[in-house]
Amino acid sequence: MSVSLYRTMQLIRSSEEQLARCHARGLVHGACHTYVGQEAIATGVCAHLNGDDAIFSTHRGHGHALAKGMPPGELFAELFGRETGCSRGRGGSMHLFSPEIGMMGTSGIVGPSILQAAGAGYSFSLRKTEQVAVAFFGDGATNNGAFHEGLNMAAIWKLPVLFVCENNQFATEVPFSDAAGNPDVASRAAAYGLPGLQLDGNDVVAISQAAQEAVARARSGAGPTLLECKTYRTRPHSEGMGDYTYRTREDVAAWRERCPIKRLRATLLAAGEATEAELDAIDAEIQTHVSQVSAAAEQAPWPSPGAATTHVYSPVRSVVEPGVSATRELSFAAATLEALDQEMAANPNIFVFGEGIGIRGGNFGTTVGLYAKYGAQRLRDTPIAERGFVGMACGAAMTGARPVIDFMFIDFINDAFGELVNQIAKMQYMSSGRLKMPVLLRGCIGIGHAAATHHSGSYHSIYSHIPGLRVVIPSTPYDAKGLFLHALRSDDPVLFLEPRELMAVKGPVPTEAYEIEFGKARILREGSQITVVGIALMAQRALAAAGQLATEGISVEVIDPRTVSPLDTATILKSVRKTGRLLIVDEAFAPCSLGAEIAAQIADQGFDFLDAPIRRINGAFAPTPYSPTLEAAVIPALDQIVAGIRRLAHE
Amino acid sequence: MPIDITVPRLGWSMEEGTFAGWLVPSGSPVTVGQPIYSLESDKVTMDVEALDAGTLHIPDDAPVAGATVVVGQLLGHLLQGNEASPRARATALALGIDIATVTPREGATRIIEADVLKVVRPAAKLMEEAFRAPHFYLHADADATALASLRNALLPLLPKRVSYNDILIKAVAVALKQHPRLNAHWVDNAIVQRTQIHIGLAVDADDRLLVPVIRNADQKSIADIAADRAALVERCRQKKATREDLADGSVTLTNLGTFGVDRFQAILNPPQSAILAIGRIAQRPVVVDGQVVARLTVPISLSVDHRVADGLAAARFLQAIVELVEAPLRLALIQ
Repeated sequence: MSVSLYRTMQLIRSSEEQLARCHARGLVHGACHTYVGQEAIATGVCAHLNGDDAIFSTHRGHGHALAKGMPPGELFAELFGRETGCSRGRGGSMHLFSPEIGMMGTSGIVGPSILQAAGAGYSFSLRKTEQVAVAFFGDGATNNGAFHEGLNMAAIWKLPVLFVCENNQFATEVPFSDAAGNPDVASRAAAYGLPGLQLDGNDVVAISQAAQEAVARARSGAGPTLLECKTYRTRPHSEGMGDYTYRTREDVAAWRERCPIKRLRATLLAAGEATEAELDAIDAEIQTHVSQVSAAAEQAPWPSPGAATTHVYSPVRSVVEPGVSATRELSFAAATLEALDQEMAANPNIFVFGEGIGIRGGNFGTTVGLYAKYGAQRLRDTPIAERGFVGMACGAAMTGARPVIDFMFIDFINDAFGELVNQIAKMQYMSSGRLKMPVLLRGCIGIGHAAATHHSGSYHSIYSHIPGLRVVIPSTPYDAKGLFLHALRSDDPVLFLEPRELMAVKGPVPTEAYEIEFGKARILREGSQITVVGIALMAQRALAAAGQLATEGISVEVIDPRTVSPLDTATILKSVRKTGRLLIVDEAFAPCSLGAEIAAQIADQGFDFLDAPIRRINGAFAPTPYSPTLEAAVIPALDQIVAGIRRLAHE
Repeated sequence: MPIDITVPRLGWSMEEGTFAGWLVPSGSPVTVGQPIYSLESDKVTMDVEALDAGTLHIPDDAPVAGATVVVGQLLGHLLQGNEASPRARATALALGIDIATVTPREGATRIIEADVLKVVRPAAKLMEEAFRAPHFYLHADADATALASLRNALLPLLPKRVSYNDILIKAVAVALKQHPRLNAHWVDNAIVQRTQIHIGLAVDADDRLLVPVIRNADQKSIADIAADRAALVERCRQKKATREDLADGSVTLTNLGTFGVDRFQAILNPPQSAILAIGRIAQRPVVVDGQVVARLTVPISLSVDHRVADGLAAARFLQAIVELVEAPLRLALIQ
């Protein structure tokens, strides 16, 4: 057992030193963060993990990958930017993915590994798989909100997680002692109600023993453990960087003397578990192996440039929508509730995170009655910790669950922007399609009822700018149910935005489970003289305007895109080809907006169809005010839309 | 953007003056330095020259002659070449219309597709209109022996390659001069008699049917007609035909003979009241002096709007055409 630990640590050390040489030779194109000096931690923890246990790592993740079983050739090829790299050349040092061996990814952002491991723990617990998740993170992450939110939630729900803090005493170049009010990380566990142990991070035997107990505790259902492993990296933060502006040569030299590999070697020799000759033979064998895989990686093929934009999304699944022929009427909110109920009954991997979505059934009745049917674990009331539970949803989706997050008001999602944009949106791409990301994020949007600025935003333009996300905004109950069900079955992350002023509006909805494909606009009304694209509430308002204008003899075609990412420009283009005029109405702000995008695309592809400039009507470029008179002044009113259409039709 | 035409200050002290009228009509192309309107101050009357080129647009509310105007007051606009919408340009290109010949509708400064369509009404609308006209049809086969001889004789003599159509256009123009009843349009439920003779020729330009017009064909030699026809067809195929090229035909001639069509009937090209459909010139059996012999003939069908002409007038017109085709030397002699 201990010889095997020695072998793993030596493999890590040998690989890192070879990578440092390769970096100096220019073979590593970007950053190269080595794990030299910290080998005992990954080695001691991973020794107790099964192949299907999941680890989540940091920007300094080479050692974690190797300890979890990644062949070193895949690591070298990745840093060399080659097709045979573990991330197919998409990641480099900071973004290593090998989900096949439970290496769920490293991250260039500090903190997400904590949340993703907690989310994986939630997934394992929900699906009763007896797997364990491990978060590796540095001391820097312990001063980050992810640490607080992740440890808290893992403790509440007794998730099978190990939180392994590698306290190497510097967050990049900032000493931990200057950055922590309480520099005793292990003691912070008490704040969340889980055990915290401080360990010598250079003593692999101690770490291995502690990890063994923590893994057993996790597997038994007793909950998470925090292990603080005090250590030191003896190479710079990143290869090529200066090292002695924030620490001294003497300090580094002293820690080199405390090398964890030397220490284990002495232990093994003293205990008679191995001879000098045997350990020398291991060293030589590893050195030879590493040299060989390094040389082979230099010869590995480059990825094809044609693959640079593949795996941003899962393959599109085409569906046929039934059409609005139903006679039964449901409200918008009830329509999505029916879809959620139907799909939760069919798929036990779906669970819902949110505040008050359990017994209470959601602020807008989005989960009414489901708690009684599916229980607390699938209808999970959460702390108010948006970044935390969005990060957890990412980890849960990476490990086989299908999370739904109910934000109530979508304004709250912005607290989780980093987890959504840097992690969830990029995960399928970074893993070359080997990880799926079925996360449904829902919440209401839009101005009305004096909700004021923190409960009225429309952020579809921001999120449709992000590759990897789907952004859906229905305006009718029929569309809401079909699109919601499609989102629940999608392997892509979907923002499902619900116009609050329409949530109580009733319309015909088929009883059966049906799907509406993303990227298919609906023509709400046919017309010949002017095309109006309306988003969310504005789609319905444009429809009302079109009705008024028909009495004046102005024939208006109204299009609801239904989804803004993907955006069905073909339907809009076809309409403009007929009418020659385009107006886009959106209560969201105009600059860099969806309307700007539609205008650009139609000007680009349909310039010769235009008889007049493309015009937009947007909400005011200001936060939403409270007072009804102020509120009415920032959102496009019906008469404003009528006048805008009339003006453009005659322009 | 259109360029504004405003009242200039004539002399040091002028604050207002009298607008004395436009020198060019709205919609005309204007060049730099061209006098475009007259303005009176208390000292002088001056023809004011354009500072910029463009197409003159006189708005509805522009001052009329005799009105008092103040310095800086807006008189009109010079539309620039790019004042058509992208859609209008694309449509004009597709229809072979020069956008410079299109003017915007009243009160507007930008040319839109509807303005282009006013110049050349869309084919579908035209056909509906044509179909509503009460047609009747007359048919005759003319002996084409002399016609072929004349063409063969002219071919080496003229710079442009003479076609049968060139000679037939001349024949129709001369016949129309002799039978002016057929040189009339049906407009707003009334006959509008015409004096000039412009013959339209149906042309296939890149799968679009255009009808360029040989103006005053009765007064032109076959050589001139051939030259005009060649230039017009080229412009149509290059999509550079102007409004002038396509407007105001008296009657139309359409020839499908080269496509192997023996004979056919054409529908009218409104508001024209007659159209001639020419079939294939070929050897056909005819009876001469009780014997069936092979002769070169050309089938001619005449379609007529019954509201404009009756059967007898049409028959006489067709008879005159046949006579001219069978003895075409006269056509070569008439200038």
